[in-house]
Amino acid sequence: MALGGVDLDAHAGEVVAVLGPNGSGKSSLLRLLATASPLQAGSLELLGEPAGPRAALRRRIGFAGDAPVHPGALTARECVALLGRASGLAAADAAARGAAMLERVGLAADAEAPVASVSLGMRRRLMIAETLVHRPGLILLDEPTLGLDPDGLDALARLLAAAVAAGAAAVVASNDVGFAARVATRVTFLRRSLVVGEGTPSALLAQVGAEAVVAVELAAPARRPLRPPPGVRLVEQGEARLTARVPAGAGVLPALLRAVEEAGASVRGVAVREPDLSDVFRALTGETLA
Amino acid sequence: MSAAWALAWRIALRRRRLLVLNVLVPLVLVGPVALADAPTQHAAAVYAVLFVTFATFGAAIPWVRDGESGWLERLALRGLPPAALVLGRTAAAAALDFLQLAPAAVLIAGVSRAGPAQVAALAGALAVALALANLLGCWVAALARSVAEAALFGAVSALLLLHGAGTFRTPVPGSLGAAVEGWIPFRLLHESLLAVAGGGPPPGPVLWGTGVAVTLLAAGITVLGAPWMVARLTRPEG
Repeated sequence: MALGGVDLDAHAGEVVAVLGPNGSGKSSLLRLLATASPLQAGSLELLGEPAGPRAALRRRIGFAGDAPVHPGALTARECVALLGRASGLAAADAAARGAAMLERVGLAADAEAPVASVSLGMRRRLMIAETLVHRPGLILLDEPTLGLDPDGLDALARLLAAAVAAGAAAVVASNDVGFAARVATRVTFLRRSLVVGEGTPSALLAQVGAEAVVAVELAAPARRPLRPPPGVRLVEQGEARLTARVPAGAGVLPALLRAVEEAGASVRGVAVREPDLSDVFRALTGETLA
Repeated sequence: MSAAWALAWRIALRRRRLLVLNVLVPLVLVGPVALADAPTQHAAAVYAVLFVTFATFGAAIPWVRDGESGWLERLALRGLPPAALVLGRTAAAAALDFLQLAPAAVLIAGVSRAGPAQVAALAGALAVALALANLLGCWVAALARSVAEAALFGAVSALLLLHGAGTFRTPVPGSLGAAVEGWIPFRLLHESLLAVAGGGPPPGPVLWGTGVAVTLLAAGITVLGAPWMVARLTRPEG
């Protein structure tokens, strides 16, 4: 995928979350930053030097692609130590740092198991350990939360926080808005290879206001036009689901559900939540993130 | 010891079933020929084909497989220089091949009651041939687009070089073929196998010199071509 109109800065101490739907160019952007793909136009500087497929530069980058790829016969301990060596660590240093990193991602108990025998979530944790073992100055994570359980998410958030506190910069491409809001100091929205919005999570959330988001799951679709009660904004209306924004604490939920039933639809379930970064993306583009 | 060398050894030692098969299969293939009292020329040709294709396939197919899986790209993006990646892995693979083929070579020498000079020559020639075959396998993989293509290209290139080295014909002194034969290091292996199987003298210093020099030249060319090879192998669709 060709990227165009992307202007991205990530400074030491920052975690930049890149959010966008499938095909928006997140992975292409990360591969460019990892020097896996050549730059066709524009300019790219990484860690103070021009980007390029140079070994010395690559040793300062930690890149985790979206799929955890390992030789299945190796153990987690061997993988993290050998990849640490590939990044220029001495054998003893790689082994010691690798063991410590496995402990931090919660893999110490499975360190001697062949990688082929552990779950996807465990392999994702291993990939995170491998990515950070050589203490890179630039951390690039593509969909790092896929397959991670809550403990794994906590470990990843802690490790990212520690790495940026030590002076690294991180770019995280994800569809996980909860994780992005948790770890990111800045968020960049991508849509069709273009940046469509950016800012700190709090500034972006302020753009969509404090209205609660109500998602109504429909057992049967509306047969007549839905007339929302005063103060309620319909954001999305489909056959199986509708989404509305309602003033927080205004008590309009019963009126909304009545309006839904008056339109001939039947309600299967209702969920009310605070607005998140997916609502910001929807407000910016009119499209959903996932 | 480089990271690529260490990685190749560690993976090979963890794949114990494959390791055992790689020792047993050559023994099973070599055994009947060695024990059947086959004509020396025929037996030496069979052994040479087995040893060279074993190493060429054994190198080419894992290179393609690791390129397709994304593992090779992961290694390259870690900052392992392409030349170190290619040479480290090739050296490790050649050493592993040597150890896996050693029992078959010992069987050939034992059945033929070869002398120490012939056995030493075979060991050296096998090491040179396996190094070259592994380099060839890496180039074959870089040119292939799939495991099947790697197997096809590996077979064709290895057999062509074996043919060029005079493995399948009676040398005609003074001919163009005879002049070419000496420059292809597989000739050294074939001559050593003829010496072991037939009880003749081991190859002379000229054949050794050219065999080693051409293999080192191939390694040098591979170092120069390593960035291109790794780029090709990490983008198999490109």
